[in-house]
Amino acid sequence: MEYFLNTLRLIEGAPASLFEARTALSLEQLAATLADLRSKQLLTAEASNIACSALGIRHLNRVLEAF
Amino acid sequence: MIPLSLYIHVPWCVRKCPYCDFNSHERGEIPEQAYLAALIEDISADLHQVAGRRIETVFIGGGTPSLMSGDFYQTLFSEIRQRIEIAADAEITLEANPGTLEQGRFEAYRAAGINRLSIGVQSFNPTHLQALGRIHGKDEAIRAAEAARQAGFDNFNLDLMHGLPGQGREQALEDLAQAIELGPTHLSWYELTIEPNTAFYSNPPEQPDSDEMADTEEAGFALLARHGFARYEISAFAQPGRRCRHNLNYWQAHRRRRPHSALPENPPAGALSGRRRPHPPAALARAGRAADGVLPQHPAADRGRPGQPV
Repeated sequence: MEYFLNTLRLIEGAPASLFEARTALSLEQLAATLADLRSKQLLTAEASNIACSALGIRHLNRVLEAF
Repeated sequence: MIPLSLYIHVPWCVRKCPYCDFNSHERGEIPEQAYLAALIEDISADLHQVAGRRIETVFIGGGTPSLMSGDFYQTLFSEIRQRIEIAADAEITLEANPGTLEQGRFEAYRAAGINRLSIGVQSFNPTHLQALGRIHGKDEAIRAAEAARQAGFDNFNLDLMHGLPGQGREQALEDLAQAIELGPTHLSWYELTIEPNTAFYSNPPEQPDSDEMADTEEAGFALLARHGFARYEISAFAQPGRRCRHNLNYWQAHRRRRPHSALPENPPAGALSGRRRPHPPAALARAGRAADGVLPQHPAADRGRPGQPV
């Protein structure tokens, strides 16, 4: 998904609210994917922001493949 | 409202680099006047989509934008300003190739309103520059940074690559140290990745193994941090307040299926979506250059694009 291809390159990621603003899609649809990546500690834990963890940045391609 | 960005593509090079999958072509004589007219026409055709807004960032990427004369950019920006406002504090970046530097050209770019340069150094090591097919040497790269500063560019990026054929960790770190010494405000440091439709894809060079590259990255990140360069994107590093606004806008604000993305993929290409076009499909490989390493483009298995920007 191009949105994540762009925003997850950024170390700070992007606010969760930006996803719906930019894509006009519901973040609900991605709840399972996000939960899975967070459980693997590839994304940071806070729900208000979608950003890679230090581990996730090192494995960015793997994170992006999940979307 | 998303800040308005303009991307201008210059699709010509003295020589095509073997790793480059951007829209660029070797050409001796460049048709500046015809391209100028085509760019203005392209931008004019998009204006109705951005009525009442003003441009906050411009990125001139390539190809090799520094092949174009100062007059070309002075006329181009004069024509653009007659059609749409450019913010007084707009960030206006031009990608420059150290091998194309003519005396006085940076001053002319500055006079045209360009206030940031992204210099495609890639390496300072003669052997590695040769392997990358670059047309410049170490001294030219250093001179380009010095010429940028003398011309009044206090804000410039240097693009560097690592993971180069035959490059050891120490050599990669020497490149970084040399770059830092030149006092850039921004560095793009991305791993060479082999893209489809490049000479390297047909004939792949041998690169350091992934463990070696991971060690190199870790040491490089530490070196950059010690010198005040904060990593804000996978392969972009900036001094405080010097993140590349154009690339940030693109990474944070890009909307899918904006009308602009339907524009023809062939040059000329002035894109008011601010996006480098065409974007390589393997874009995620280009965590860097954002430009500065913009994008030059030029990362995440990962590299920035050579040159993006950044």
